[in-house]
Amino acid sequence: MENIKTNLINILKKYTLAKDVWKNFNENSSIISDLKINSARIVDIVIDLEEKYDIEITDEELEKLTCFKDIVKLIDSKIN
Amino acid sequence: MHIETNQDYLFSSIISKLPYGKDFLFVDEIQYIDKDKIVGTYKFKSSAYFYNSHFLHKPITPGVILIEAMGQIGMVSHLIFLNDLHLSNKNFMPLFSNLESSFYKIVERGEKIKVIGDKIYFRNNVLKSEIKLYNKLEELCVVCKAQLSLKYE
Repeated sequence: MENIKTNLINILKKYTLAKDVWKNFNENSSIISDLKINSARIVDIVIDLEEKYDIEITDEELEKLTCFKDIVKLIDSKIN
Repeated sequence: MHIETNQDYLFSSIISKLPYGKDFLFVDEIQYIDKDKIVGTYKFKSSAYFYNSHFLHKPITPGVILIEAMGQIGMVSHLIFLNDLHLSNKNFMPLFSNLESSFYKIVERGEKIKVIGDKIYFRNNVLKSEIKLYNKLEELCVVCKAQLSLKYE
């Protein structure tokens, strides 16, 4: 799980232009409202994760991803 | 004599669905389209309003207008095709979500440009493409990678 979190943070950091959003980051942080990553970028993040973990994330699953821990849980469920 | 083909009809149907007025429409023709690629052209009007102010001492085509033309030809026209919007009467707004670009050459007043859009993906109503803009000498002037989403009204 820790490994997933570290990898996810590294991917998210590619798409956060305003670096100060990480000051108050926690596992409940919302991708859009807290990390200021827009909804189109979530498609990029999902594609990065699919490639990293060799998994498939459906469009329905993608639409439900709102906060950091949602993504961690989804990845964990796909690889374990 | 030019005989109109099904492809000509497709190209003109797509252009007719672009949601822009004459002062902000930067697509003259589409030359090629398939699900992965689009090619089109536009000749900037020498009388366009932005040449009066950009720049005061030497009018050249503003970078933001080049990006707009790249978006209209390389992405919006492509999204109309990919979503079959040329076959419907839906109102929509194409909105840039993310954009990264590099500029290499100035586009002069009244110059004709060619734009090539290569789809990277189209997923969850988001089109991501790499778009290249060439001048009349076929020199690369701008490259951008962008994401565009459609908002329906």
